[in-house]
Amino acid sequence: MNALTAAPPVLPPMALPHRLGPPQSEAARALDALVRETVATGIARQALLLRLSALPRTLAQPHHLRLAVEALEPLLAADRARLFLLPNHDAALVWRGPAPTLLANSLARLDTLFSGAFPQGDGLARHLGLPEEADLLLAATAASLRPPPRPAPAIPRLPLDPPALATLEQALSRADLSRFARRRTVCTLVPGQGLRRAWDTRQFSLSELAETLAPDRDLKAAPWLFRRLTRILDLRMMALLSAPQELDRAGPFALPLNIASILSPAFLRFDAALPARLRGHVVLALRPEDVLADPPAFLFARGFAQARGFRLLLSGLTTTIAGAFPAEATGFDHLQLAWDPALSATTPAALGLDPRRTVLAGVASTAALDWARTHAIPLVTGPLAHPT
Amino acid sequence: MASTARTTGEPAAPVPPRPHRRARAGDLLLADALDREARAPQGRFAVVVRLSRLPPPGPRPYHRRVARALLEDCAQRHGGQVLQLASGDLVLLAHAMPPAAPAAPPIPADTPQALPALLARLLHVDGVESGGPVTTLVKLADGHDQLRALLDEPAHAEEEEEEPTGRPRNPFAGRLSPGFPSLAPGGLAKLPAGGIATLLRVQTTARLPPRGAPPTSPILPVHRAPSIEPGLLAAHLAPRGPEGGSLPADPWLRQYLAEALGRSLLAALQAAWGGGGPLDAAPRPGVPPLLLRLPLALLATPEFAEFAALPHGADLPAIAVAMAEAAADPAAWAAARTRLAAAAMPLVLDGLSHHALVLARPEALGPDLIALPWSTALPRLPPPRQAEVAAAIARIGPTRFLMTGADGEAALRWGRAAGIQLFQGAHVEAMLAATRLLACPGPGPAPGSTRGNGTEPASLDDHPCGLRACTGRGTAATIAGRAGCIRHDLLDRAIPPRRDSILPGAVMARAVA
Repeated sequence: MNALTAAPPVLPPMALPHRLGPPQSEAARALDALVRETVATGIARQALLLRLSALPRTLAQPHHLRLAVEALEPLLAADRARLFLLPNHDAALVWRGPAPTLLANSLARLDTLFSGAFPQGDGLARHLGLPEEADLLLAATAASLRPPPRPAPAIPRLPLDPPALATLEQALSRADLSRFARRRTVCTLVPGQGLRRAWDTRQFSLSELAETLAPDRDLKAAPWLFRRLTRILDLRMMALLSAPQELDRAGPFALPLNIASILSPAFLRFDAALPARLRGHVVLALRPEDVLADPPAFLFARGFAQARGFRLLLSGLTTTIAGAFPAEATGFDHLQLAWDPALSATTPAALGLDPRRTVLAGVASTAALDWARTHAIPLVTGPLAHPT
Repeated sequence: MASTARTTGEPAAPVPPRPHRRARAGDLLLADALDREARAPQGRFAVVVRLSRLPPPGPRPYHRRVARALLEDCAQRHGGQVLQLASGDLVLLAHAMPPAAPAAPPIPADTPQALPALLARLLHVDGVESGGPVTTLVKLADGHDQLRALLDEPAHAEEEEEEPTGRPRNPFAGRLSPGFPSLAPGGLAKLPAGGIATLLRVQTTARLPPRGAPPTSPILPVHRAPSIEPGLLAAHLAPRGPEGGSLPADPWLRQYLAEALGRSLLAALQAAWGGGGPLDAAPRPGVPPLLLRLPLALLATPEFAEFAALPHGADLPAIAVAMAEAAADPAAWAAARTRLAAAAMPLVLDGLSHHALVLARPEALGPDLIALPWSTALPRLPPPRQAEVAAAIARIGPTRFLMTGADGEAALRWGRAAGIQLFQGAHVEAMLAATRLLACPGPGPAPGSTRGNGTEPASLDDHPCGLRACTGRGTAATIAGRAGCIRHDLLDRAIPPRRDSILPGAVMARAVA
């Protein structure tokens, strides 16, 4: 069987993306799914990534691209080989088992084709081992789906200031924000079975909101005013979730909130609208600076939220500050730690963290996933954390 | 909306708020229920929440809101009615006791029986409040007199709801609007005509002798700490407002304001370098170095690098950063810590209350010192909380603490009992002023005084300046604020040179008084 026609996202070599019109996003998604499956199951695969998008313009003519993809033909004979043509003209070929001769054949063809344009073994083609180097392939997939970077705005964006904040708050209180609502999955690492959905974190896409409602303002340039802005986003999200039928079929979810928002009438309405089956399955995510800003309010909100069956998560922890917020003193059910490659050299206990309560965030590499597995951290979130 | 109003019998048009109307109805309903129970006992009972008994600063709006929501939820589940009395207290009138809650209900406080304990835990009351318990469960038949007494409590002025419509109010509406936007970046030209110095007070951090030290042990000024005086800032923000100035209640707006002002402070310090004024940070013999409270973001700027590169001498300024800022931006904190350590500048963690001391482990952030603000609540904490605070101080090490806002003898007594040695605040300023006055000849003979020029006064009463004036001049951040004093060198040093800086017991007692 010709592997080129075996899988749906695979296209014949002649049908190059730039000729087809519609972007080959399906191929990118299929590759993404295959890599994640490899990560979750641990089944070893190999991949060859052809970074054709990096070719100089003179070598990126349609016939060059076609010839480059055809150079992969020997490798298509490898076990379960699948070719993916990505939207940005990159190509990836994934197979199982050793195929050194086939690989060498393909690389030799590429070398002949582009000899001199790339230093030996660098840039154009990269041989990857999965799942160890999955993050590189996932990054390439994600990059292929990203629209080309926009030209820098002619006028630099101004930092958010109080009058602009007041205007933006007015706009946010009226605008329909439902189209900006996003979900980010937090997964449970089940030993031997991969990843299972634990809950979805529900929040607004701040970058899209800013782009739409305040394109001339840089919200992150004034972090404290931005924090203030999150108050109204909390209220709008709670109102969205309190709408009739909104949570009828919802699974467990997490809600990043300000402490003042938990003590607001909007939270009481949200609490009243929460279906009984979700009680005990909703996580409220708080920030450490908020806990410190008004500790008596935090203590009250903590007691109230837990009495109503909510679980509490402290987000935004890093290696620098994790030790300052121990779970037994703060009373949080979960502590969310941001992945940092420096973590590889340490343990949760050394940071003062109980692994059973830890959520590892920013999991975009197999190193992060391995660290979570090694230290029995049950919950992970990030680009690599997708339920399988 | 209109149909809902008809079915519930409420008017469709919005009604302006009428204070106490609902509360009075609550009083009448409670009186009626008590009468009915007396005539024909039905086994009803009440959960009473005496929010008016909460220790100072008393109930915050969210206490009332959440307590009411919990009572109403319970009333809905098990039948009953929630009444708000004119006193501000809440009463849940419930029918006969429901069966006990299942072993592991989704909501722990599912029954009226469980409510008093839950509310006591939420409100952090231990049943040892001076006025009696805050939450109680009482049978109407048994507690008739006790419940009747609730109707005689003084009326409580209802607080304005923070978010009556579910939408946040415009943070800049009303009295804040004239001043606050002017402090936006680029709009700082609207600082007072005298510059940021007119919004500052320079307090002195002093090392007091430990408990049990001889009464003649010296007080040692350790740092001079120029900081924004909230009252002066509030007055500047809205001087012509109908109710005077006010700082934003929102902690994030206050942080934003602090960041803008921090830049001005740094610029003012650089301008004052070597000028000999109260904000002169150039090294001078006997004058303690600065302790600067700066926004974390500022420590990564070229302006701060320029300030740090000035020839500070051996006594380097200490830099204080709020712990909330460190928590909000750990990367900036780590970078600042490294930078300050390389410059050998001590790092002080600021902005912690005694609550935060128990909740968090500030020492894990690696500061040299931790600033703990004095609170009159500290000596009045229930014994278990006292023990928690004491344990936190002992764990970190009392010598790593600096107590700020020490405005009276109680603060010093509590702090020294805990082993703290560094203090800052009005009381410390008064003590320092007392030592200055004893070493200072004064500007000239006071009217009616027989004392001549050039001699040191025998007692504080003899000095023409007086303790209050000298304290004020000692904390002034401008030359104008020192007007009337001829010994600016003493003000700069905070106390006379070392040999004289021994505070006799009698003077200490006087300063305390």
